[in-house]
Amino acid sequence: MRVLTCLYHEHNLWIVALSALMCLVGCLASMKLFQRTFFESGTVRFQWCFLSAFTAGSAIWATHFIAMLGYRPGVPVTLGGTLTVLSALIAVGGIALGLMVAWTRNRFISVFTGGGIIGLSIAAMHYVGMFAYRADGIVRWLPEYVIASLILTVGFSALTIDRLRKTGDGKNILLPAGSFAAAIVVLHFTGMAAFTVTPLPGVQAGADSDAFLALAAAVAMVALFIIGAGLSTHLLERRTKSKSDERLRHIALHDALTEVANRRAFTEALRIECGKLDKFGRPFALLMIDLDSFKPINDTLGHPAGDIVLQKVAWRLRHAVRRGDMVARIGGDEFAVIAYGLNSEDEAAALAARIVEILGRPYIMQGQVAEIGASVGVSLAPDHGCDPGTLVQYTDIALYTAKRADERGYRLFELTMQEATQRRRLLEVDLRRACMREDFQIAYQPVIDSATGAFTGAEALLRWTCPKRGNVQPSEFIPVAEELGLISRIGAMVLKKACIDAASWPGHLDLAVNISPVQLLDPRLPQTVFQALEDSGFPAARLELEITETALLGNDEIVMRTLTELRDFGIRISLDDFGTGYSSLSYLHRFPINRIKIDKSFVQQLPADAGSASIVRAIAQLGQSLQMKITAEGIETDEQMAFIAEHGCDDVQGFLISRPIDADKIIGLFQRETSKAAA
Amino acid sequence: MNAYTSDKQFSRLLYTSALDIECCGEKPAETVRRIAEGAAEQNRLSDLTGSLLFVNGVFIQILEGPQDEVEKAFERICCDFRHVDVRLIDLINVSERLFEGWNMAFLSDDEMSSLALGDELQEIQFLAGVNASQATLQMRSLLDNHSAASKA
Repeated sequence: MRVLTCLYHEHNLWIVALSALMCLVGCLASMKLFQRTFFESGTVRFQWCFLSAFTAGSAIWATHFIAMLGYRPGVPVTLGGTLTVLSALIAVGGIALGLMVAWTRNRFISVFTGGGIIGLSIAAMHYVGMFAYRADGIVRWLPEYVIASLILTVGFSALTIDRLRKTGDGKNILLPAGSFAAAIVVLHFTGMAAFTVTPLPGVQAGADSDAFLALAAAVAMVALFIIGAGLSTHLLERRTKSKSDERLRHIALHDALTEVANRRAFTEALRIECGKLDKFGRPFALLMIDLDSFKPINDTLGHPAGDIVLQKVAWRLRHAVRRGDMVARIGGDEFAVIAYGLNSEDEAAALAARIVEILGRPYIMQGQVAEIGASVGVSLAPDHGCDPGTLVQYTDIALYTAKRADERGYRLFELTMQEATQRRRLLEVDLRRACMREDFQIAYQPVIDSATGAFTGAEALLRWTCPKRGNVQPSEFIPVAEELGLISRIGAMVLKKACIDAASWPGHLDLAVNISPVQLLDPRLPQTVFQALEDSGFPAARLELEITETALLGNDEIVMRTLTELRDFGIRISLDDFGTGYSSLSYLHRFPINRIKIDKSFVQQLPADAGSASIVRAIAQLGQSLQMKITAEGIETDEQMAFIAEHGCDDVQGFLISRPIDADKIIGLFQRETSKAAA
Repeated sequence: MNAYTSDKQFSRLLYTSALDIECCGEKPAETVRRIAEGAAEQNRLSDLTGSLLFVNGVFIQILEGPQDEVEKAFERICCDFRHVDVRLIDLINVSERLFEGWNMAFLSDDEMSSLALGDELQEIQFLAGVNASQATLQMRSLLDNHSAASKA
């Protein structure tokens, strides 16, 4: 009660209000600084501690002296300089010490010891300050108020530390600041209630000395400056920090090369957008873009050129999308777009078409030209899915389908795609397993001399009987094997097995083995072939490797080197499926080719179709003049056989002679003929 | 790099593209004129010279100047959806400009142009498809003829 009456009767309320305001501002500033000391470490932590202690100490000191200006004891008053300064040092030192204790992990020590030290130092500052305050009257202290003031201030200080620990680095510091202000204000006014002055009889109740006013005002002002300095340091530091935070954030969420969002930002944005879809039903489209034939740019023009292309791709993407759409680079040459608020298939298709168009335009950098294309997969939310996982998966499937289509471009997700993709993934799994177990068989299709009808050899054909799916056509699984990089292994296995099988054939019969374009680009091919020959003891002169025209496109040098090496070893090369591919006649004399195999699509239309007939005749003549052997494939009728024999094809193969049969059967076939010839 | 590289300080680029009719609404001729004016202004700033023809809905443009400026200009064109079917016909390094003084000469086969000009433009369009260097020279001589004719 006395606290309130003392406050009301013995103080100038305006000045008290000013001191309370001063106290609150000081406390807010101090709390911000206190917070910092909890999160820094090392020397910096002590520097912040020093600054905090100065600010908080000044806040206490200023509150005290401004409030003292408002105190009207009714007697003349003077101030002792030394004790006044000492009181300030006590406040600063005590708070610094308390803070350091409050840093400990132990909550009890931190709150009670740390808070206690701070509370006691506030009290010590106050009472030392009061000793500096000399009133010309009889001074009496009321011990119960002194004790109450001590308990209250320690309690509030402990609460301050406790709240501060809870707040962490949160923004809202009102609670700890309020509690700290309470510790200061409550101590001050309870302390003042403990202090009574009775005017000496005879001494006139006069004005305070000018010196007192000047000193008190100076103290208040200095304290204010210190608080201001502490506050502005904090603000300045926070601004620099938030700037560098922003830069760090930018680096964390953007791709360094292309400056578009990175995978992390993309994932986050997609998650947020899916959340918005849930809450507000806002639709959007997800597009994933994969560059076609980008890798050759890195390989031929170098990585710096590849990087420039990627930058240009990102730049063009930003032009292609609508304002506000997100462009992200989510992999080496993979990009993604989130098109906000887009939900019609037509709009999505139009956007995808723009992307395909703009990315397909030529790129030039440092005088070099690069042509790439883009495949785009599109899915729509909520039509196709509502969660990031499903959308990404479906978009991926659409992209996968787009990439495999003959005509590159974009594809919108459809449920049937999922089945097709699923089928293919399963095929991939089975194929890998088959490859690991060498679960392939070889069938042989005999070749005969068209003039004599005698066997000249056989072509080895790869067969795969999957335990689950039965016979799988080579046309179905070979492209998959090529893509999975399994073809060289499968090819090597075929070569090995076929050479071993053929080693037991009669000595005049040849073996033909198919080599895929991917194998032909593998520089280890000659080694594989030589190894197979060596292991089986099959002579190189009886081996013929069948390649297709597509294998000869592009990479001239590698293929030429490989083929020359094989030829030098005595192995013959034949050109398979002639007439169906590019059929460039320049291949025929540029590469070391010994034989041309006329594709069965021409043979099967013989002899009725005049066009096919003249093509077959022309190829046969070409072979003769270039001194190459000619084989006709796919002979099914006697008429075809007659036509072929008449027009000078050396060898023939086809169902008319024999279907492809397994190794045991073909050796029987060959032996029968040999024994017949001997008989 | 060869011994001549150092002399060849300029790039010359020839491309063709079609005007996207859908994007330009009612007045294709106006879009074409805007594109031409924009190109001329931009080229003045970028130290580029050359010539822009518009014939049968197709742009045939030559850009020549410092290598990086030519590349920047071409990238701008590639980002412009008013063009479709952008085809790079030729990109070579040259030691001197062929279109010195022409920031971007513009000729088109609109209703105002003479029959003779129309024929010449068509011939260049054909040449651009088969012989880039011949097309370039023809574009240069077309400018001489045309400016002589307009002075006369």
